[in-house]
Amino acid sequence: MIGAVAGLLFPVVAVGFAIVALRLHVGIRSRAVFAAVAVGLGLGLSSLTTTWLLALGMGIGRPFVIVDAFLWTFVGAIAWWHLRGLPAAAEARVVAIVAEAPGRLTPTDWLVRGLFAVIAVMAVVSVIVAYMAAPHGEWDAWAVWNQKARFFYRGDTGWPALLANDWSNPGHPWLVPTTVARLWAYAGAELTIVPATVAMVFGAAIVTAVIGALDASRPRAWIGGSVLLAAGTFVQQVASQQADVPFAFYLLSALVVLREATIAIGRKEGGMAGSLLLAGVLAGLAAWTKNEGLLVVLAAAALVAWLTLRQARPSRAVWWMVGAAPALVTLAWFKLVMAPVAPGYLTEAPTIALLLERFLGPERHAVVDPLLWQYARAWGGPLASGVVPLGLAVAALVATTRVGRSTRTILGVVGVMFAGYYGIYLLTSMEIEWLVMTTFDRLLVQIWPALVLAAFLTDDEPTPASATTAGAA
Amino acid sequence: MSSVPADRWRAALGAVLLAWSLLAAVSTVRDGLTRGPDPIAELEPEFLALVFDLPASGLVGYLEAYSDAGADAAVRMYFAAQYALAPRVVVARVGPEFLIVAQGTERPSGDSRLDGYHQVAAFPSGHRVYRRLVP
Repeated sequence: MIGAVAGLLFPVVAVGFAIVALRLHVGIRSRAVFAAVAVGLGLGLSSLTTTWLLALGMGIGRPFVIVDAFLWTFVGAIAWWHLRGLPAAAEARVVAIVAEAPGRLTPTDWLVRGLFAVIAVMAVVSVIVAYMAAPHGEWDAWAVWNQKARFFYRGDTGWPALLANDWSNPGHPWLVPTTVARLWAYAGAELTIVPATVAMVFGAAIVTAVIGALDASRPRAWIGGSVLLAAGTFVQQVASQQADVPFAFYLLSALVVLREATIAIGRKEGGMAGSLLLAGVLAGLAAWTKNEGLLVVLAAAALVAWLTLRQARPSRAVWWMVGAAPALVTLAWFKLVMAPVAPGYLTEAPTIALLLERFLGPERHAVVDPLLWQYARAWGGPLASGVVPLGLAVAALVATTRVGRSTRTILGVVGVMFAGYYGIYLLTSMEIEWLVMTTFDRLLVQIWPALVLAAFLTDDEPTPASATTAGAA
Repeated sequence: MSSVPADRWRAALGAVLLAWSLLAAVSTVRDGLTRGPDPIAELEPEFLALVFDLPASGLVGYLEAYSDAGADAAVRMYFAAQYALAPRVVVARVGPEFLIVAQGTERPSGDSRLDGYHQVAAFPSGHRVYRRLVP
């Protein structure tokens, strides 16, 4: 397990240093967001490099570990060397820049943070209990994601055999399986704790990013984190080892970093280009995690286009595209060369007649609408059912206020995601009831963190942390 | 001064949300504790025992359940075989040289799908490995 931890830390630390060395972090005002982004990028980018090594004919074995460790050590060392070369007073140093000065905590602050800690510990206990009951994860975890990881890890150069079985969704992107296989290679054994830890790390990164984006110096951030974890379905999905929680992280963090870019524009601070590049990488990694990620890419691209056009600086959008390119090019290779198969839920060719019939005809809406309402209402668990409609209502209320600009943006992206899911349910040739029953809970898990953020976020006065870094920038 | 009642409302709302989050978290832990055993944790080692009687890679056949092959239990058993035996590709049909006959999948009164195969190994779990007589 120590090997797996090392395999996890290598890219995370290297990417963290690289972000600072390249000054991509300047627009990020929260240490928590910075940490979450570094973790997500480290895992995501190492998944891409693993895929590239596989494509070059290298199996996942001991030589792979040596090459991978060398690669990330090299990246980290170059970044560290670059950082050391900067003047001592330069704000590019990690500790100095990502500043979130903790003020003096009041008894209320302690109480709120203490209660959050209790809730977080209970969430961790829930995940551990679930792991002990089902160490291989839920159905799709072992039938799809971890099974693919086994092909990569056990198959050496014969891993393409994983594409043979159509029921295991060969067209699903590889971020989760390559990450798990890579860490198994570092561990030198196929430990079930590895995919469980990957899921936990992404879950923790989500909570960290939400608290950081809501400004950890305020009680609302910790209350938002508590509400996020109150949804039992979300916690259960962390334990399930499926790809929806990593996907939720990339969706959330792409939105958080894009918001930082928006604020940097509004305050005429530096860091917009860096934030756009990071947001592009994160959106690209969402697409490399699940097919739904293409909706994130589309929504984020539209948002970036709007942002940069409004500022009359459309060339800035290039930074976002550069960031998204590595994952999207890899995805294009995967979809066009490796697994040119339509997803199981979209096997019919979408002719105009079919689209008109499915979208405009009343029959499908009559089936899908009540089903979605039924599942959305029940989502969250026994004591948290109804949180999705409630969260949407609160976010919609915040969006109508003067301080609701970021919430409006997040809701716009969530709306695009939801419209995409809805469109698939209308279009699918599968049995609708079965598809909704087996997928909708997980789709709501994907947007739940963003929804919590939207409901708690207000664009009001600058925080002490932002004031500190605004001066530095 | 007008912000004082608003602050109190906000504090009260925060307290309610925290209390509710705490209760919901307890409920999630309780749900987890009442969860039944995971069938995959049992099925996976059963199929792993077959590896010494199967080729290291390539196609391996799997005899579908003689009735109700689409039921959850039957599908789970087949998927578990694939999960355990990767990187072999386990296909749910007869034809490949090696064939897995999982417990309960063969028709009790004799199964014509096994014509041309002979049994090469049997396991305490009830699973068996067959091989085609003529490759």
